Amino acid sequence: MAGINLSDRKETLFLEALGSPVIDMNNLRKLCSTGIVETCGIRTICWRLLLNCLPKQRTKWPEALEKQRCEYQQFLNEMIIEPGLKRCNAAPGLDDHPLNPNPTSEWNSYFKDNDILLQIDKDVRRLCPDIAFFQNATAYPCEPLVSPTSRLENLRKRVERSVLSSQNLTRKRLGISNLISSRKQASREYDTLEEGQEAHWEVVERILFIYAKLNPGTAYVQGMNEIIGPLYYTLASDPNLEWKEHAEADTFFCFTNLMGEIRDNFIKSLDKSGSGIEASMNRVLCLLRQVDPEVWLRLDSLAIKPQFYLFRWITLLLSQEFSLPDVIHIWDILFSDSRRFDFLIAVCSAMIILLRDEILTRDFSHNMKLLQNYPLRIDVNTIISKAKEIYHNLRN
Amino acid sequence: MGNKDDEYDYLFKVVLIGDSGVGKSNLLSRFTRNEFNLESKSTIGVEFATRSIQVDAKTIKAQIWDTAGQERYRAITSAYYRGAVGALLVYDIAKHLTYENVERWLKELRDHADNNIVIMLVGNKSDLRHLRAVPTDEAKAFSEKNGLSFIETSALDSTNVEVAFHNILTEIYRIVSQKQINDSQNEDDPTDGKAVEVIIPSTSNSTTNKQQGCCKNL
Amino acid sequence: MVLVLVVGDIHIPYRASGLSPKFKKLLVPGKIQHILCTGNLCTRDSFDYLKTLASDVHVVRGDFDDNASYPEQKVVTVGQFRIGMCHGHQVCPWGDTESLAMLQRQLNVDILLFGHTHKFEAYEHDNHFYINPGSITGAFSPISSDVVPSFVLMDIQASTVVTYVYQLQGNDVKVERIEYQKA
Repeated sequence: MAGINLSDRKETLFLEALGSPVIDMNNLRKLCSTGIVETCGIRTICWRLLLNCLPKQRTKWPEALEKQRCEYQQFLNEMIIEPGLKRCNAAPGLDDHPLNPNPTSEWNSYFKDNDILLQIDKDVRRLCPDIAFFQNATAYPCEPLVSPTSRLENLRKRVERSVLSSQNLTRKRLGISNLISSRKQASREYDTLEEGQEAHWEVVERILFIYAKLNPGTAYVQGMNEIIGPLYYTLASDPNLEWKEHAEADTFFCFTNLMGEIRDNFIKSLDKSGSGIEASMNRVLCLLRQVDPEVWLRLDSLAIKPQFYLFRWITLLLSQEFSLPDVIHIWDILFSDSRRFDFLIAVCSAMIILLRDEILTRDFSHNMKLLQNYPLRIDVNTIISKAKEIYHNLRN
Repeated sequence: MGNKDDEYDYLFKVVLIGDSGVGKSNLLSRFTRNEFNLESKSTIGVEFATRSIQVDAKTIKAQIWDTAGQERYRAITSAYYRGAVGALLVYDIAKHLTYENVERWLKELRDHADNNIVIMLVGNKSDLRHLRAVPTDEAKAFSEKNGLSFIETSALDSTNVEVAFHNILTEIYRIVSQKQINDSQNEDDPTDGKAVEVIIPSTSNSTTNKQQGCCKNL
Repeated sequence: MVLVLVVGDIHIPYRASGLSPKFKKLLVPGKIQHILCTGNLCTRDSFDYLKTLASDVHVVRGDFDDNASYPEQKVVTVGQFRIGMCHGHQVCPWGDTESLAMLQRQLNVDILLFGHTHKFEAYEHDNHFYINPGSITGAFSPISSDVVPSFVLMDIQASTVVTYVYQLQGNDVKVERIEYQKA
């Protein structure tokens, strides 16, 4: 029986491509542009290759991975663990103290970092709220930070605000006293994890914190959490434990490399530059005008500006427009694009064109809501097909 | 099809501004969809929703724009202010810093929004009684001093959310309809010897028109 | 690492007009997580000021506090530490080690915070820790001469408390550090 179905065949092609001693990146890209198979942890390896976290030569993989992972551990030590220990063990008579306003003070840096951490914390706690994953415990927590005997504090504790549980004492004349406990005012975030455990969102928080410290120019901008989310989710869901164990460190590098390419979108001063977000938004509109001038005109006459929808689509690589599995599917293809991110431009245009019936007939309010809540009824594969169809227009 | 949604006497654009995390998105969802989500996603760029209410037997359609709070997004969001007739300036009553930043947001409005925009100061998260860091009296006094209306809300338990939006929309409506009366009064006596003060409405297209709305959206 | 501010005997506006600007400069919001006040604020204004520094403020009643509903004594728990609070005008003789030790036993606390004497103290007695943050405004006290404005910041980590005392001596703020390990 000719039982080999299409996906088995595809899986074989991927395994072959990844199995060769020197990976043919062009071939791999072509394969990925049709979508990566879900099996065997193939995707996480492909993404690492496409984002330049792994060299082409397989024999160099162990060395490259070891180097990266050590580097990450070093960052962890330098930025979180060592300063934490310093604060805990400050020798008596030392000049530093928590309220020290001096810029050279360890405590002062600690609080400045907390300002950044606060924003990261707010955002990662609400990452992908529709799925449970990020609230679940990771199998690979950071030991020095979660151990119950550790004097170091987890990043989240630095910015958590809680109310102390207290008991009020009243004394009666006869000397009998009552200890009345105040109603326990729990902090808003409830803890369902046990001691010594860390949630996935805390891992993401740490990666973003380290990234922000290493990149003070951009530090942390809201939206970066939406970029790292699908990356970490994919790597931390790897069926292969030897890869999964290093999801934190590897995500850091994949994220850093990816950000290297899209970072300009997060920088206000580059908005009007050739590489900034406005240029990208205009490219989408130009393509749209070429391929479907009627829709382009309609959007223009309604004054539905690209800032109102395209801005988010492009900056976040569409991660807030679709469900996580669909985002991952789109990213398979985006990453495979050797002219990053031309294909993204095509996808955005396709998304608009596929809504043409409504856009052409409905009013401003309706169309705004439509573009901001992309309808589920339009299948991701339809969008991708359409995008491929119009992609060649972009090349001209 | 939702034609009811398309019929209105006035269309008012209102923006929600304030620091990240104060609850703007939940105020929006509470008012327009009666929803509250403890873990709603961070707002990137702008979000948009509408809801119509009745004031003096007129249908007012509120077009509410919710924006990202972080500094980086200010450059993009400045486009959103155009045509806005109202602004809800939101802070978190449990985070004093968000209240301190109100001055900065007022400056933002002065720089980008219409001079006559109606501003309401909103102290959100009033359900966090025990974590209050901003006394009501203080915020009230500040509002009075700066010509802002003031209210405390809780998007979580719905307290005052309807009231806040109703109040600001009603305030805008009164101003707009008063201007219309003034305009039409001026037209009544064109040959009057007295100098006629022409009141130029600060918002464009203040004629009412079904399907057109009061404030032409941009 | 939990930062807890311990302050008391503020006495604004009756005996002091305000905090020293040197102290005000240090006390910025966002750094302190909890505030424990030993009493004698005396008015709502001081309470509101504390609330701007941290939203979790606990107060026990002093002999001059306007608000009669503050409790006489309070026990809060921070990590491994039970911390008792009492203004101290009720404990006679005032500031007496043995009397305070009795209170510590009654409340069953690791650390006892008290005030009233307007004199900073931090000492270990019988394996328990006692802190008087003094008066943050340096307000006059009939029972103490030469009152130095002071307050205390506790850094509570696991089973250790690192206590920082801030004192205004002349024109300068002097900081000292004391460590206490839970037995």
